[in-house]
Amino acid sequence: MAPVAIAGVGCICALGASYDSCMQALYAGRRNFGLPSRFPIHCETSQPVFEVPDRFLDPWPFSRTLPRTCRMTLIATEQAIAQAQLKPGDLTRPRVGVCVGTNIGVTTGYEIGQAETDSFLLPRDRFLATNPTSLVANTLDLSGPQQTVANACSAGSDAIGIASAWITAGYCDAVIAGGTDELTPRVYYGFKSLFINDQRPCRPFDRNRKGLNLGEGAAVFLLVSETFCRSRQIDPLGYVMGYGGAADAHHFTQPRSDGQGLRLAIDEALTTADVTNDQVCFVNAHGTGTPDNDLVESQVIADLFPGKPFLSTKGYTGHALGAAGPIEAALTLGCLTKGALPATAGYETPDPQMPAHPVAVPTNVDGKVAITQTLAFGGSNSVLVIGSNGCLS
Amino acid sequence: MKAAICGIGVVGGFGNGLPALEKALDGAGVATTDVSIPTREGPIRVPCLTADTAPLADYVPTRVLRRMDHYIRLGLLAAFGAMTDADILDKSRRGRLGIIVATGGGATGNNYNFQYPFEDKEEICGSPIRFSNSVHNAAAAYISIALEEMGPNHSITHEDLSFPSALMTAVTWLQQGRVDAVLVGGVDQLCHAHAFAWQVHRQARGAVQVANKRERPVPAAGEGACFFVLKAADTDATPYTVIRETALGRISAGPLPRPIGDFYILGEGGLAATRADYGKWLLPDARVACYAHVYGDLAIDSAFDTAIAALSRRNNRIYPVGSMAHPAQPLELPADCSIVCLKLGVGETYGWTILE
Amino acid sequence: MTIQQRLKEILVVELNLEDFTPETIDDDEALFGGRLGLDSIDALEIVYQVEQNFNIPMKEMNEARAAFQSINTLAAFIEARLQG
Repeated sequence: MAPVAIAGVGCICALGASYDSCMQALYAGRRNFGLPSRFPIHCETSQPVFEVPDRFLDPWPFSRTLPRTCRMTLIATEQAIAQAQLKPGDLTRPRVGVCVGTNIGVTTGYEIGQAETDSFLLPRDRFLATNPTSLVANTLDLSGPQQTVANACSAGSDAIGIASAWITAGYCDAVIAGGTDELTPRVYYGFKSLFINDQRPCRPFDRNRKGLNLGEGAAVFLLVSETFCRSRQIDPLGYVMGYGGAADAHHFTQPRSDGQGLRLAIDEALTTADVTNDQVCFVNAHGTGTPDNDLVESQVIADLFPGKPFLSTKGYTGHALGAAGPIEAALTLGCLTKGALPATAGYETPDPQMPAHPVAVPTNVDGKVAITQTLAFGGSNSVLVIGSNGCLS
Repeated sequence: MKAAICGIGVVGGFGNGLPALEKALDGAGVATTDVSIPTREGPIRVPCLTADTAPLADYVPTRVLRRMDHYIRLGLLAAFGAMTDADILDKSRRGRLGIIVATGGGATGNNYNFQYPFEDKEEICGSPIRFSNSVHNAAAAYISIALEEMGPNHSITHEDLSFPSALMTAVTWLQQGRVDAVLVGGVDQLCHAHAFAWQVHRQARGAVQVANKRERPVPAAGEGACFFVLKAADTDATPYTVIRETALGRISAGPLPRPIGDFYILGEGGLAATRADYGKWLLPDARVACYAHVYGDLAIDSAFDTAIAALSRRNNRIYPVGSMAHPAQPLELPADCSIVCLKLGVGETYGWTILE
Repeated sequence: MTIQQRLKEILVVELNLEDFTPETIDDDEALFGGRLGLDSIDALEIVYQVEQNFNIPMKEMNEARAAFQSINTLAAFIEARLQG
């Protein structure tokens, strides 16, 4: 796969209202968690979440009647376009596609009004108003292909991978690719019923980790072809170098203990990127803070990237489901560019069962290529190889 | 040539498997089932084309199916059908297999059941089984588990254009050399909201007019699954047909990018049904057919259309049921003809596949 | 109806135990690792059903794990919580 240029990045999550503010907050070590503020808690136990505050959304001219999932996508899209020093109108004539990964975005249209069947009279209008992919395409009047990826927690990473393939196959000149998900009562209580949430802020890879915290947000990459780059004299922020995906084919909610699905996905990603394990300068792990996930990842990382630093950023963002992969890809690009990793928020005590441990303090890194990996419900493993601006030289 | 269709599995209101589909296409009646839909004015009965997944027991023990809901079972049955048809159920004959599942609405029956506790009870907590099954990649995940397949696994939910999008992704994976074969298909489950919307919208319109303005009764709301095994176009296996071209996009400025073929199958159901204007996409003398009466009104109808196109190509004939062809036109197809499966979606979107 | 009978009816329906009826499930037989074939997701579902049907919320899975040996141990757990 030829490297696909990242012309612009948009990001909105608990860390910050933009890509730049997210990176600043990351390095400042800010963890903005709390109890859910938008719906009542009826259970005896309450688990912290990483919400996007209203003040991050309010300055934007998108209607408040739109689901949050869609507003965040539109905001991240506008940010990415602006960062590429383009205007929305610049995307109408070229063939521009949209590929977004989400969970809430594919069900919101059914959740709205589901209690009153009579109000479901215009399903086509509901879809257009609640599907983030369609909304972006219609708002910007785009003519390229559209796809909404529904791969649970890896949806956003897979969307970026699919979009990159569209560029290299020549289907599009550019693709708005990313992920989005908001915190809803259904998701909050659904995860609670699985007993995989931590009652405290999450502790990725920590000996005493108890589970994940949910988050929300959206991140978008404006991916462009080489021709598009040259004709508009865009200096890319970085590149999507490779993408790999594989299934555990094991159990619906538990990862394979041998990590074989993740290993296959990493192998494919590195092969498509034409990058060796040694060239990877750090790994942004999925690192949710659940006992099973973190153990498997530490074993795979120790085997495939011995001695390489790795971290989880979910202590700063929570697990934003479909948005997790793109948010972490954006943070990965930011860390590559700066040459530095923040500490793994929430990690204090090494787990003696783990053969490798994440960075516990801010750590410098020197390299042009990094990996970000996402493991999903249902056993999907998704890996992106991200390259910095100078990685092609 | 981009990809070859080497296996097909189908389940729907017409029954299970290609023989049942062909029988329905040849004119055997397809019976609807009255489904009771609760509304604020009391329950109404809506005729629907419902699908039975009992034949899944031929492939998977019932204890393994236990937690799988109807949506997952539909997908699993059609997936096994396609894998068997392509003779790659045996892992040693498979190579690296990708799995792609498209749906218009996901596990809609389950989504609604899961949400009832939110209205009825003060203690708002969900059932873990139903929550797990409600995630839209549940069918693809369970298919990978049942087939013990660790290749790439992908789920797409994009209403009417879900299946064309899935097909384009499948063809792309083969062209990239990412996999040796792709199991790609669509699943849609009937749900009360769809059936109700159908009742209000489609029936109120009376008949439906498509393309050349001939009127036909409105097809019933449906459910089902349709899967394909695709391989590279130069495969040794004898394919039903080859996919020459896939396209996906949205009409913005400029002329319509009309697909050119000898025969057109139109996916008239789904969300766009009340608005899509197929007429402007086709030349006045185009040979056209719609087969929604066989499988029902559902978002992934273009999957069934692709299966019917593949059968037409293999058997060199146009199936008469639902055909919009001029009566004087013959129902035989020349061996080298091309068939276009065209699907228009909401928001001026389109997707097509050309098979030959 | 005894708690045991009610539990068995709930489990047969909610876990979709198609090969069993309340009458064919022994009150002392192992729920996990036995012929019922239950796994970790079923354990979570049992916790949810106990919460919904007997109004006994659980904060941690560990609370329930010891009670999940059999229908009888689960019934004893429920009785103790209802009285306490």
